[in-house]
Amino acid sequence: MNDISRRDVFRHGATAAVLVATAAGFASLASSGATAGPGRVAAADPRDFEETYKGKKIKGEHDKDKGKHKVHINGKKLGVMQVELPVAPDSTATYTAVLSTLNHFDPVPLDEGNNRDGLKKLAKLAVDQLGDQELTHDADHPHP
Amino acid sequence: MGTRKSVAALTATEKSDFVAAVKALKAQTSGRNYDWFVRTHMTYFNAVNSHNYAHMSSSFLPWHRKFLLELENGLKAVNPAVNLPYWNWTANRSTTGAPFTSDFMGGNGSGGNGAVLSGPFAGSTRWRINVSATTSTSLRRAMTLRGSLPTTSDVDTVMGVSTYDVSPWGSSSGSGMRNRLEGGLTPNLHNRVHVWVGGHMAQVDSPNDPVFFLHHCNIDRLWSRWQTRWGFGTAQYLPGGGVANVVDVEEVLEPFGATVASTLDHRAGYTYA
Repeated sequence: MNDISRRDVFRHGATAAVLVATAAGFASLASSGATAGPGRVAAADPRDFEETYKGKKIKGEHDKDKGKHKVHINGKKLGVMQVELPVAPDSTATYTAVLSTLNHFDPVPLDEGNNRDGLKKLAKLAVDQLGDQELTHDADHPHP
Repeated sequence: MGTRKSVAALTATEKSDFVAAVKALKAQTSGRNYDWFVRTHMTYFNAVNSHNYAHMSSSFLPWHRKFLLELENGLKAVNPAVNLPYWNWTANRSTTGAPFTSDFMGGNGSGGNGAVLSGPFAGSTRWRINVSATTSTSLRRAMTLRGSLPTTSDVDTVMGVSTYDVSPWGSSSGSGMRNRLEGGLTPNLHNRVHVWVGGHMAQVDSPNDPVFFLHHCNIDRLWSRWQTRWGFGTAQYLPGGGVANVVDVEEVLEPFGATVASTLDHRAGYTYA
């Protein structure tokens, strides 16, 4: 959490609270049958991305329900892990962040507000880390 | 009984013996060779048998204590005189000083974000990366690009927290010594050093950089220092029992087959100078 100020962390927490309510709204919409149904594919998350960064193709797909987000770099899968972290010492409030097999000790906040681009930031960090390298099959290390 | 010394206090012979033993373990073709440690760290970063043994959990410290002991035993099988040294990053903070000297761990990556160019682990012919999330077969470092080194004040803050860990015993634990030391909570002593070294040290396969073991030896030293102040007994590890999917004090740390309780008092096996 070395790059996150305490003010940022509290803001993430507040945003997360708003998002819980928003997510509940989406769940209600889905259960009404507006988007669900046999043969229907879940709508893409508006935060999903597919672009080229420093010569590498990065693709990200969000999994809002289960936190099983997917990132591919030049078509190869990057292992991604969603974690909950405390917003401050002695607080029970948490914020959501993502790690990858390449940035394993450097969580990036992710939400649907100010940190909506968290997964893309994680993908770009991985590209920066890669430099002239590519991912191997071990980059798709399974995470809980 | 072994004595683990600071990297800054090693003699030239101690440094060359350590490097030679590490390379001999790397060259071993079977059993718990060096790459076994890389693979095991990757495997146990995840939940195994529904337990987070190695990271983001109460057992972060005892699991790595056993991990270091396994490596140290492997090195001693090569040369019984070798002990793991520790990198005290509150005192040794330069990218060119101990342990990053050409006679020990070598220096930074090329261009500040590439292959290590100096020292006994530079280049794939001297030190080949076999198990990794990336295609590089040479050790890489990117020191100072991200992260930072903890200060003495940061360490003192963590040492002053009397409670080992708190529920929910994971990355979101809002108090306790363990999460402050591991890095889910400020001041974050462990994670930020991995990030500061960068390259392989920032990745899931971080033990590919031998500096990993010097860093974790310091983490173990700090836990030992905390234990010296607050106690080595089983009551000083939490959770004590009955918590599902968390390694309680009498549960076994896999893949080592040893309980947490058996790791707590290390003083009969090794001490820190």
